[in-house]
Amino acid sequence: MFQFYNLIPSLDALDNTALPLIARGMRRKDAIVKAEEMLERVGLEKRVRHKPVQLSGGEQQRVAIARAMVGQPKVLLADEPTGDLDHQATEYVIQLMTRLNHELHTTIVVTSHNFRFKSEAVRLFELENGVLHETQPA
Amino acid sequence: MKRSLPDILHFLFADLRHDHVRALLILLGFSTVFSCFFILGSLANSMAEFYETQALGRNLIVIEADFINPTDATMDPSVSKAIQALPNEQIEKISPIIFRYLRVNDRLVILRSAPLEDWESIYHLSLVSGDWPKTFGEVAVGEGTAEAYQWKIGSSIKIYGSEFEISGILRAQGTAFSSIWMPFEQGMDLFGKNRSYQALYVKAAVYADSDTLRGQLQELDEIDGRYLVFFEDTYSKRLNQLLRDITALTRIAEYLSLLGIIFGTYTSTSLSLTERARELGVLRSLGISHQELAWLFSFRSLIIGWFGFLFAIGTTWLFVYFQNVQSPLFVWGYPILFKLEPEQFLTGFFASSWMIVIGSLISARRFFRMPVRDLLSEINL
Repeated sequence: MFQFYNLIPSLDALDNTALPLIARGMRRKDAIVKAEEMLERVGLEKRVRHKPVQLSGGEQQRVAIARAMVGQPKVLLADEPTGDLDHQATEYVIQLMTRLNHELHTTIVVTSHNFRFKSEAVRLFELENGVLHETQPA
Repeated sequence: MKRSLPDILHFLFADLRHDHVRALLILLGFSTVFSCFFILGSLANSMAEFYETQALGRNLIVIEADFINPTDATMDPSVSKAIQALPNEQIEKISPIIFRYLRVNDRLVILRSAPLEDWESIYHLSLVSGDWPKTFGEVAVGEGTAEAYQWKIGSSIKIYGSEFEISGILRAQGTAFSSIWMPFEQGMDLFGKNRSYQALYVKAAVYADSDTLRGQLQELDEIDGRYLVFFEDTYSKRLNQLLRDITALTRIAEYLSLLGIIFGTYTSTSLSLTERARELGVLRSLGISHQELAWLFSFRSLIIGWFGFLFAIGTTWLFVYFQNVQSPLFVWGYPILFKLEPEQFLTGFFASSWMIVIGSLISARRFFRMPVRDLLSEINL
């Protein structure tokens, strides 16, 4: 997952979400069914036909989360997933990632400047002056 | 990894819809190049038809030397008398011909005037429809002229200030098919008896050796130096050399325009890829290989190219239709009618498809060698 969502601008939310499955060789028809399920999980079932430009920043990041999770990865790497979002959207995305972690049993590794992640993390590492050390979650 | 064609087309058309303005501009660019290819090709084909006509036979033509334009040539009556006085029976007939470039009904045409009884035997004319001119004031026209100007039997045309009626449509070899034909007496009457005819056709007897006869004619005192004696087909070829040269240049331009597709595709694909480097990085990070992306972009260019091809067929057809009907092209007074051949479309289709793929792959190569990390660090989406 990227800070700037990196959705494909020519595709709607549904096709953006289905893309990783199609890249793995799944037929679009089948990939769309799974993408719809995932978009429903992130609360975008009414926005599936919208293009990225028609979605807010928070919604785009939720599509990016759905795209990252649709292939049911064991580990998800998220690079500043809330770095470009306002407070309300940030809160929604953090809650969503926490929920998906519990429901889908996917390990999510987040790099962030946002201290709000501290309270949700199972393990916490801080990078200070180039040195990485583990600390206790809040 | 195999992908279904409908899925690929779905994504490509989604992309084309999203980037429709640029896609349309590229399509128009392709279309312009294709139109040039078709028009130049049809022009070259039409001109080639003129000089690839069958050999016209072994008649001899006597014409004044050093004139490029046969209209300017004159013929001294002593030449005809000298030929007739030759002490052998190798000559079957001598026929004088008047040759003029004229503006008739605001159209540039060639007028040929020769004795009516020689039209079939010497000038190889045959009647396609209507009748040979019977009365004064009647002329016949070659198929080429009739087709170019939409002239029909019974049409009235004004030649050199006098009204004439078309009595028949003629078929003829070489450039003669695009002329107005008039009986010799009418021609002399029309242009004035003090003006000479331009050339003499000499028909050799069946058993005669044309080469020997040509040598004899060339050595006549009345001919030597001032006039030249050609074989009929040699003279036609000399006249058509201009068309050959123009056709050769047209063919070169035709294939250069096709070659231009490679550079056009290279430029448009490069531009597109430069702007989408980050998007390419995302697609690569989602698991699509660089080979697949290269082919997808080539296929995308192909789709635009094919639509441009179809559009060009339509515009070229319209151009050719209006050009042929409204203002036909002339080379030395011969109407050159553009002709579109199916072979040209097939050649254009296959050659251009290859060139589009080559152009796309050359431009894509640089991007698909870049690591995903570098692609992602390019311009933001």
